[in-house]
Amino acid sequence: MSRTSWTTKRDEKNRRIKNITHLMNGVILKKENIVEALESLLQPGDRVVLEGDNQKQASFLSTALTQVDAAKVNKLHMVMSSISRPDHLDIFEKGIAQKIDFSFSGPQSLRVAQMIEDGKLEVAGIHTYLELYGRLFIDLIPNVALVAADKADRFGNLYTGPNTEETPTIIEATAFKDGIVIVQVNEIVDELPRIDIPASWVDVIVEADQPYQLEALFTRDPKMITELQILIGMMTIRGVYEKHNVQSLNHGIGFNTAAIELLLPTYGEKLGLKGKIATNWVLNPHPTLIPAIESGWVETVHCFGGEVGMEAYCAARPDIFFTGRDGSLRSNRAFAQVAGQYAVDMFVGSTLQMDRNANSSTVVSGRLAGFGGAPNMGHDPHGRRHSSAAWLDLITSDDPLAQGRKLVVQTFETFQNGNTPVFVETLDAIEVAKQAKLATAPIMIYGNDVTHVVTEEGVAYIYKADGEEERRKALSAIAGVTSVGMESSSGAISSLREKGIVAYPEDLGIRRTDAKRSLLAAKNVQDLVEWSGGLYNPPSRFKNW
Amino acid sequence: MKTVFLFPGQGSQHPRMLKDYSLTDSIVANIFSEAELVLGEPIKTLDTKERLASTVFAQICLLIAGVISARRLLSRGIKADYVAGHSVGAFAAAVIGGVLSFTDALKLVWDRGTLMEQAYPKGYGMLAVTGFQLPRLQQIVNQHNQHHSIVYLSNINAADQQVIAGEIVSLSALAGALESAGIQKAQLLNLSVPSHCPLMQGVSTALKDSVAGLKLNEPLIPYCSNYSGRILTTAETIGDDLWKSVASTVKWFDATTLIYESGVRAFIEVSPSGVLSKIAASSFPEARIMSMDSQNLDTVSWLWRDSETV
Repeated sequence: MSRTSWTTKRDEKNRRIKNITHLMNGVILKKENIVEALESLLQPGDRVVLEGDNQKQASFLSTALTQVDAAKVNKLHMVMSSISRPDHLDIFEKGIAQKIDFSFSGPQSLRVAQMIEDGKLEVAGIHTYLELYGRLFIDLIPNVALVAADKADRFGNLYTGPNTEETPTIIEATAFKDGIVIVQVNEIVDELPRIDIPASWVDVIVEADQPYQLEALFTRDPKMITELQILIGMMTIRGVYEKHNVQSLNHGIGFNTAAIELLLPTYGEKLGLKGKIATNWVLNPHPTLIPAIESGWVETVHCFGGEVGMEAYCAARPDIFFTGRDGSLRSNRAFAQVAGQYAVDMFVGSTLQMDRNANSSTVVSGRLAGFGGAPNMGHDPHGRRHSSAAWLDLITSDDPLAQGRKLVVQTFETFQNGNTPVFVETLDAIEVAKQAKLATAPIMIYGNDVTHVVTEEGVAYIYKADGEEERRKALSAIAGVTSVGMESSSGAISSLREKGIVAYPEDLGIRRTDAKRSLLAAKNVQDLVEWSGGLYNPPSRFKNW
Repeated sequence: MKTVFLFPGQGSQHPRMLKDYSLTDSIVANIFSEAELVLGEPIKTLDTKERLASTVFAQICLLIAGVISARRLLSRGIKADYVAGHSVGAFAAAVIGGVLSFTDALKLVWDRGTLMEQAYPKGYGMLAVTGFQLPRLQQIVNQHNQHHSIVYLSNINAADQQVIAGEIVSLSALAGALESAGIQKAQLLNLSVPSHCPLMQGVSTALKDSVAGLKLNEPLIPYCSNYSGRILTTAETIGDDLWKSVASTVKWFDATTLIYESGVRAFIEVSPSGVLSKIAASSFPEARIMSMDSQNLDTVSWLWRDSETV
């Protein structure tokens, strides 16, 4: 049997575009016509990507989507890396959308859990970022993409600037498979600073009433860093970065890693480590990395996205950051995720809970937050082959075929907020999986991928442990007075320290009393601005001087 | 900035709480005369120290103060996108949301308070705990219940603040167990009624009949449920919440988190304020929290308008 047409998708796209001809001026649509246009361009059951990650949101388009007539547009299958805005769930309440594939839903985690329970939201899958991006090209190919850019010209070329994020990935998967690409822009200009996405990939441009929503997610005020976090940072620098010669890496978003960034130019400098460790990064433009950059520690940084206030600083440091001919930062979330998973030697992050097998989760009871970048960055891609010192240093056998390992490091205080133990018998994630009827428990990082755990008690080199029993003992030795920590005996601990499976501060030449805030290269946001020579312009809520 | 009015529940009342309202304000005058008509007593006799020791009068005074306070906010053009009442505060929230008339609310609350007071005359109470997340607390409570008379989780106010109801002897034993597990605070409240648990089933059933006899209007403002932690937008579901909640856990943390996720960043607690503002400040450090008693109407009005420009 032969098929009658090989161009059904293309024909359908042309049909839909033709229906809005009367609204279009070239590729440009007036903002007041967006709802009418969406009602023609979207068909029931369409797979729709609505751009939104943890920072950048196609906010004008998401609001417009809540206003379409559910009698005309319904049963949409949404594909979104992040459920962030109330709009994103309103489209389900209103019956416009039915099903969703997503990665992260932190800002809407209770409402997501409730709507699943109430049968208002059907979750097709919760993915890591890379799985979601990959599936856009396999079985989640979009019919329509709703995305955001900074500027367009009247031909439809786009400038996405420092916050390029996942825009090119989404558009690529849509445009080259006869999907429809609709872009909201902050402004339409005669000439773009640079072209991030060419006009031939874009179908509709609409100038929004307001700039797209953008959050400063990676700004950590050094004022909030505690001396316990500084102690953990010092042990991590000595016991992990220095010990394994780690040069390429990614950091999480927490204060523990912010402390490390601010200790490099002071404590790291004193240890003579400049140029030897932490030179090549995949990281958002963390303001707390400014002192390390200014002191010559950092060679390169590739970014997932931008950070509010860091635009001028990044533009002035093209030797460090990826920038365009116009000078401004170019980020790319999908490539940064690939680099963070596959091309760096180490991930360092934090968690809210860890069980005795080092499985960790940030899931809280009754909430469904999905994942950020940690599951991709925080795992060892097993097929990788590499020859960096750090990679090879993790080989633990004499087998000529033994593989190296990526360092996956978890750092945290044994109690969060001084009262809630991080080490637990059972992760809350297991109960949440039952409540939300998930196929798998929402584990952030699997224990068998974790190589090091650092707490204020010490470092556990669990990759070295011989078998499950010894891994558990190593974790117990640094679990303090949590129930997991109470299991360790002093005899077992000394043997683990002798074998180098556990190191306490004194084993690393660190005195606990040396962990002082005076070691931080910047003590507050104002210091960061000074380090940057005034180039860093923090959002007003961080300007507290 | 999206705004919610928070209506406090029992525990927030204090003697002379209605004394400061001036009858020259027509809102106050109207509410007072309506209340005197229904209750058959002068307002000034309701908020004495002696009378407030009774659940009935405490709840009635909270209703009156909540409705006056919210109407004064509305009269200044301060709009509520949501109303959320904690426990008995839900009745004032339903009045302000347009679901329940003030007169009907007075009658319902009078019955509710009376039934609650009569249900368990003594030996019962409530224990407030601070410092443990819910799963950890739940685990200890479950273990406790295997060997003692059963206690119930009656309020989940914040991620680490809950209230437990039951027999005082059992609650005291639980407090001991929680203290040895390292909890920050476990304190018996000065309340003799084990609210928001199955021990109130009889009260709940009686209230169901009372609510069924009333004419409820469709809400003008979405209402946060106590018993389900959902946002409710129909008269029917809000009516159900009013009778169900007395015998179910108050899911205050869920309800307030849900409106925060829905975009609310301005929380205004009506009089007598303090308790709910403090909880909101700990749960939502980035929100703007306003409190009618510590900031007068002019200040709240100015802060709210200022928040509109953010």
